[in-house]
Amino acid sequence: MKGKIIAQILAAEWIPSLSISADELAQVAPLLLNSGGGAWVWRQIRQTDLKETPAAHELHQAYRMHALHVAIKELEIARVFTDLRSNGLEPLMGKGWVIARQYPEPGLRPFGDIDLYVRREQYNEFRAALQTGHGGDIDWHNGAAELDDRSFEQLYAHSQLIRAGKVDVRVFGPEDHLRLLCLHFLREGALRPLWLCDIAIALDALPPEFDWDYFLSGNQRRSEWAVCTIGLARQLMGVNIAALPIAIRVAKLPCWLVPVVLREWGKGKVTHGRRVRMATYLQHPAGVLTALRERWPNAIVASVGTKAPFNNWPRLPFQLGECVLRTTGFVRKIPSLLRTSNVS
Amino acid sequence: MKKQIVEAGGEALRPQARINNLVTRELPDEELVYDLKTHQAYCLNKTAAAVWKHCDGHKTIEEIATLVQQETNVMISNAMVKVALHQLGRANLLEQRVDFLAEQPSQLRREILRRIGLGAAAALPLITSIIAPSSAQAMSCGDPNNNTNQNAVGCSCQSNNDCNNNCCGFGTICASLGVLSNGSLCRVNCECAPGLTCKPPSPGLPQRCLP
Repeated sequence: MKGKIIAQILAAEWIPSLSISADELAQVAPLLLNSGGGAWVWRQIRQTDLKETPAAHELHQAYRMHALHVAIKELEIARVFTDLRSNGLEPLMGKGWVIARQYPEPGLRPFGDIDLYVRREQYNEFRAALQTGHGGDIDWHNGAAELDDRSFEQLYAHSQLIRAGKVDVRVFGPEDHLRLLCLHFLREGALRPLWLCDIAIALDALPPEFDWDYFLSGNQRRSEWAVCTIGLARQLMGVNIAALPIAIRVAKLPCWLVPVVLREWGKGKVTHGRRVRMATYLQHPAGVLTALRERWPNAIVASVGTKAPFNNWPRLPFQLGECVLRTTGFVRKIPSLLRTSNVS
Repeated sequence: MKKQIVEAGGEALRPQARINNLVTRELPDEELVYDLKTHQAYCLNKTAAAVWKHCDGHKTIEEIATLVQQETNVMISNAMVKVALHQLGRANLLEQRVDFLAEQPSQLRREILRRIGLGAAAALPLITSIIAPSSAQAMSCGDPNNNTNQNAVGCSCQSNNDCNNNCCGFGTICASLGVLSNGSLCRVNCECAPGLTCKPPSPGLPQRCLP
């Protein structure tokens, strides 16, 4: 229920007949604020009667705070690129600021880190170049996991320079970036509603020369997932993709996909990464059952983890398969984890 | 910041806006200001923002009032400019803070409301602090099995190096620095409040923040 309300509010940009009550807004506002969607929702309700409600006040504050935060981050981004270039290094930036700048106003899409993607062989060089003076704002990506079916040379060749404050920064080309956003959304189990908004915004801002063949190139299973995510953006956000060459391919989504996404949004979980690591329970077993329940992969994570097709087959086998994969990986690591904890 | 006491009406005063260490962002009906020194964020309504913009150290209060009135199409009196200056000073957004001894801001505000009426109260200069609601950024954590990401507070970690603040805390989650009080379970010193150390109370027991 909450997931549906969230989808309805977020989609008001594309489907402008928003009809939710103040109570409904109050119900979902904490989830939206917690997942970074507060400012976007403020934009959707600020011309309605809902703008006078206490929940709206919180959303408005989030919008203001994010707008300032973006201005501060732009200074930091410019500094990072200037410092790296003085060392002859050029990273690729993605997600965060790169998609936030495509939203209709600054501050609608908050971001925490500056996501920098670098060649694996240059990773340490990059890290060393920015060892001091940049706080903890940089999220270094050793290679581009979601895009590793393309070479880094390809990614650079398609990259673009765009202005961040007074500096040009290098970002992924639109094809690579849309693919990255789609695959990242799925890899993270569709947890944050704003990530689907990102995809809808990116689709709205596609340049006329967007190369769909390149977007769909590489691992075909991943391409199929990316296309499904675009279909999801059409269905839940209402973004118009009728004119896109892939419109026919996205027409039918697997029956489980939308319910899973709405259920996740309704739960309001923030990220998978905020959980206590399983290794902790080797020494403190209390709570291990709850931890196992929390780790039960949703159908999206399980499908991506087991490289499964997005079709109408039941997802339970893939969810079990994903659990087996994870457990195997964990068991293999136990000796080294125990050694590490004994040392510390 | 120096404090300037204005004994009389202060009409000869030429206020100057502070520009250093501030980040600003203009929104349709307001201006946001972030003080990089104090880490305070403020929201200036249209009138306050317009007054602040004209504080160049050359213009008098009267001149500022005239200019703001032209820009906003709202009746702006000297008293309104004074109220704005008072608030700007309190928010540390002027080079010199000004206090109008003869006219307290609350008196000024009442006087203004008497003149312009409650209906035009929205035109009164207003500066408010922005307090962020408990909103997380739309960040994602790095793969906990891949130590190549510098994770934010709240993400999983295996060593301090995994966290962007170099503090991989109890539960192997990137922790906020120095927030745990005396007696709290901990994993590393950086989690504990200043003056406390993360250590076992006696051999074999879990580590806690202790003096």
